[in-house]
Amino acid sequence: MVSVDSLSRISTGIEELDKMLNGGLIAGRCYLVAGNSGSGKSTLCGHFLMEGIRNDEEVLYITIDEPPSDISSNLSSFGWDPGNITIMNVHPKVREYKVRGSLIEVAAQRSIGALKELNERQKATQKDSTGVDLSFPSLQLMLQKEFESKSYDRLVIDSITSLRLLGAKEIEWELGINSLIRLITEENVTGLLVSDDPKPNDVIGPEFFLARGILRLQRLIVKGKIYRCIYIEKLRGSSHDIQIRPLRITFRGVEVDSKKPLPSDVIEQMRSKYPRP
Amino acid sequence: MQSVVQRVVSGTPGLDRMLHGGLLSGRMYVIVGPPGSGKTTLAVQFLLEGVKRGENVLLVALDEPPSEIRENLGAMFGSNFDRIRVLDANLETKSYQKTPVRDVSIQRYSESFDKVFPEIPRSTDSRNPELTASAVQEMIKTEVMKNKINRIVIDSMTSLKCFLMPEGDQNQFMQSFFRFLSDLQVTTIVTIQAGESSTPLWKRCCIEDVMARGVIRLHKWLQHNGFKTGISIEKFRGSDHDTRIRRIKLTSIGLQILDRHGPAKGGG
Repeated sequence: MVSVDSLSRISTGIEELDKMLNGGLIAGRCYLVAGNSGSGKSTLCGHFLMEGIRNDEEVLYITIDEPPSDISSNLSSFGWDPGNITIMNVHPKVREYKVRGSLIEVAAQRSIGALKELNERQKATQKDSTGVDLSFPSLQLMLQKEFESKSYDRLVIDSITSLRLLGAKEIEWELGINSLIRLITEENVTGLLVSDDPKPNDVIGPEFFLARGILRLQRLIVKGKIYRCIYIEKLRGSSHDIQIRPLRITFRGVEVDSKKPLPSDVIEQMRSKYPRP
Repeated sequence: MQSVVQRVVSGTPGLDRMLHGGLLSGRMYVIVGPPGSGKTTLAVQFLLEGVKRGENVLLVALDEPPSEIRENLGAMFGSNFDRIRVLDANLETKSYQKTPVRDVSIQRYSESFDKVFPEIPRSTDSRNPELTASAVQEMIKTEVMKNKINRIVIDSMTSLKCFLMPEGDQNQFMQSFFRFLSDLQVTTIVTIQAGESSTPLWKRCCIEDVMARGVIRLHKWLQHNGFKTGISIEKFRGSDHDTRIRRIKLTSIGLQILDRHGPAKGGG
């Protein structure tokens, strides 16, 4: 599989983005894909997963925000056949959602099984767990079971912001995400964790300093027009592009244009996020 | 300018000039900066300088496993890097099973990077008792005595605070941890993750900044359509220092501080 002695790179499925990353993502690590809504995070992840499918890899899509059917139709709309993507549907309320299309659905039954198991164990200590039954422990347990049954190359969690809402206490979230990233890294799986932008003035979350790289996407409205852009905020162990590049969402998915610069009005708006000290 | 305390060369050319000769020996310093600004590289260069001088140096790793740190920086820094001792204080995958409370805390020891196995160690239930800040403190104490450590880096203090200190008492724990580091009398650098750049500086100030003997701040800003990075000395007890922000550059041979005339010369 992946050699650990030298940096082995894997493609994101977007050629221009690979160039920005100086050759692609370093395999076997977890990265954050952060941006506001509509900036193209999930579509970018679609490219990443489909690239895996093209290379006959095993890929796993863990969905919390959207039911598998929506994901399937989203991916199909870009001309992709998502049939070989394994979907793990972990939304507590749509566990028994009926899927159409050729998605392999491991989630429903497996998650119910795992959740049952967990509930047995938690009964002794937690009596008031009647509300949301999906938690960090249950998700990790599901993932561990999935890794036991199959060896994956790529995975996407969409999104960890929704996961955050599951953790009742801040400390549960912090330790939960730490544990999850460790698990994925130990399995030598390359992971993209989708996240919303951090709130302004908020203390930076553990996902931002634990991620081995951060891809930032942004959707802006300038003079009534929508613009999107992408930049690499960090990439451990590698040099990378330091420019903000325009990003477009077309019928073929995400397109990064490294030749055309963004309009100065757009840059101006971005600059307020990163003021000169 | 003149100080009775001995100076410790920081290992980054140009930074010692900003520090008017280097850090003060036996004290604790903070490097604070946004993601991807070069905190780890700067801190590791401080350790490498010690290796070059025949000192024993210790990296306490909390943000990523030693195998990855070696993968990232080993090739860049060559054989000196392999002589850095690393203490793996990363939390493992949580077992989510109630383990009986034990009085004996976990003990891990450092090893030099050339002994680090290229693959991340697998979490096992037996290897996985609760790791706490107090346990890390004990481990550092043991390392300092056993291996005669001259320089320590803790990367990052943010992880230590976030994962290993009990919620609610974090400030108190930080205070006692910093006191412990000062009492060690070993020159120490801790890295701290800064919030979003748009957050005003006065709001980003935290207890770590207040307690450190010196704060080195890394900056990142957008100029035209590209990011620039810079460094400044925010505070330096007992010494004069440069008050300007200098541009920095991360290259294939490490982090360099630039001045108007290009890369700074000298220092290490």
